[in-house]
Amino acid sequence: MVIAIEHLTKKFQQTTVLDDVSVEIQPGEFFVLVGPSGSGKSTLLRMIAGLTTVTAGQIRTEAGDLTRLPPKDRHLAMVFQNYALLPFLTVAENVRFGLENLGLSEAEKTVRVREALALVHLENLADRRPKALSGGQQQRVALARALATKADTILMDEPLSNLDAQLRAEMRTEIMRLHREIGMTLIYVTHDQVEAMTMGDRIMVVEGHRVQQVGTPLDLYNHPANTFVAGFIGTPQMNWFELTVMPDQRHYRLAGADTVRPLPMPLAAGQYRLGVRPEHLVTGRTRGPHALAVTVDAVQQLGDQTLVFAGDRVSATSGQLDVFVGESRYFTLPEAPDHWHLFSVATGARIGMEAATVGA
Amino acid sequence: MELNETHAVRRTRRSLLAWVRGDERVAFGLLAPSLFILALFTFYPMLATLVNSFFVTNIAGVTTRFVGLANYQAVFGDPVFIQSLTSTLVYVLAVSSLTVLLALTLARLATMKLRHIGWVRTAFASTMGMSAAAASILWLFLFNPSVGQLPQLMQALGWANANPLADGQGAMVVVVLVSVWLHLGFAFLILLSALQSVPQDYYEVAEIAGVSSLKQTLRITVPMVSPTLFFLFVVEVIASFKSFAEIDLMTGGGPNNVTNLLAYKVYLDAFGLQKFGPASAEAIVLTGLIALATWVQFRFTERKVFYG
Repeated sequence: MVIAIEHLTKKFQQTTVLDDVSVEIQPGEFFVLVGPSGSGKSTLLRMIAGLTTVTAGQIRTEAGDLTRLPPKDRHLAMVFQNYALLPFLTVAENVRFGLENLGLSEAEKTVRVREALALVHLENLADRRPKALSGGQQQRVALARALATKADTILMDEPLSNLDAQLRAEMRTEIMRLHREIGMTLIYVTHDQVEAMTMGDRIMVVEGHRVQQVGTPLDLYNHPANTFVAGFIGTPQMNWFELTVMPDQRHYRLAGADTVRPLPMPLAAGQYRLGVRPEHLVTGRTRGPHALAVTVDAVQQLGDQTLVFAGDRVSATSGQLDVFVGESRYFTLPEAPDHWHLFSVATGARIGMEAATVGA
Repeated sequence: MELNETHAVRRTRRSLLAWVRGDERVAFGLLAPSLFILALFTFYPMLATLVNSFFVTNIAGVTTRFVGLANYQAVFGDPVFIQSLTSTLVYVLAVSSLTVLLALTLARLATMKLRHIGWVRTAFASTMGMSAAAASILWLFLFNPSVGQLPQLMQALGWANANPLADGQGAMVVVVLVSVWLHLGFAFLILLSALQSVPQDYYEVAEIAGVSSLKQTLRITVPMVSPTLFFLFVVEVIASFKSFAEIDLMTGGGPNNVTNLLAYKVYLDAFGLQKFGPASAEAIVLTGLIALATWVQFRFTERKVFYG
């Protein structure tokens, strides 16, 4: 079932919470809504669920217009951040609670409950109360309650935010496995960009009540549409430089530096914001045409890679690098034009290579 | 053995010393004024009532002759007392259950996210600030057969008997109605605060699963606030057993003793008929009934309460 969202807008009195969102979610897709807290991503999910009313715009599927339907008629299930398990019911009764209105016989319900609990490996805990379970197990019960409905679409609102790091990683794999096995459409809200990058087929970045970009994880990483997406996606974060391209369109100068350096590709003269991923900013001992002299402030040895910090910039080198705090090094900008992310100083929007490059 | 005794003696002496020197003395001193007042106005009357219930008294209420359980025999042989007992049970059951049920309904309504819900909440809780006497007079006027609006309305709607207070069952209905109205504000406020602590998620899960609003109340709200509901039932039952002002001002126990509830009958027998002995026996029976009702609730209802 394709879920088509068209010009969806939500206002609470004068405050706009979500402004003109349009997207089409494909059947079986793992679709992630990501953004900082207060960006409006949860509101969007709740509007899809029917828990929050829509101010303007439409939500449609092949079955028709859902915009004004009550939640129960939308054939979807939802998993909440706080699990929302009724404390006085057992695990099995909680799962059964989600099947209330599907017109199933008691026997069918029992089968559904057993199947769903088996999917999340909780068969043995069916008679426990939620309080007797760990956070991860409680979240599994909440997942089972959604799965038991066999809804085409399952909505998840920050389902892993209350878990510790190890459990979160475990449940991430678990949810991806369930998605692969069952093939339902998943719409997943998170504020954690790592979660979004590792889980989503496609990601929608929401910030400031607007959609910033929709795309596959690598799309967002390699071609961020604006400075917000560029900074939000990827850890450690993108490095930023202000640069001025000289009238000759072959040279540039970094803000605060006198040196005029040759461009890797010709660009229209003017001001730009340049973003460079840490792995494309090379730490070295030799001075080249694109090198910046820095003093190392901090070093993080991760084993498989080394992060070198200097000022507000960071360079990531794979492997273990022999470098110490206080040493002088050079950070070298990439030669490959693909690794230069250029943005407008005024709007923050990405400036495509095609638009900026001249001649070539 | 001897060693043990010395230990015990020493311990006693030490604890006595501690009592004289210690914090207990200060604590007792601080409690003394309220203990004195309680003793004078609560414990002494209770004890005196118990004593009186075994005596015949003169018209001034002074005990004259010990009669053992004769007062209790007389009370249980009195058909008016038996009628009063039945009426009281009907009244208590009706008032406590209707109050809690209505308060729960109103509290559910008042937790809805609507504009100006604060005004609605204030209105629902407002009877809390109303005295029973003032409320009784107000309703008495509303039900007055010649000037009251309600009889006129009832007549317009085709009611044959438009003076409910003159009719046995009608009077009971009115008394129950007014008592429920009076108790509602308190019960509503207590339940409202309990309901606000129920996570909204639970209702949203139910909403998505297609659980109707009534079933949401029964399957989510009631279990979640069951400790509060239990507390309210206990308190409401006790309060209803003790209802006095509504009866005194609205019906005077009539017509035909239908609304002559126990607490009111005790008053009539003692201060109307000067039968202090039997009235004391009735008061003791009433106290016993309240204790029994409370025990029954703790024994049988509390099992169903979910304390989380």
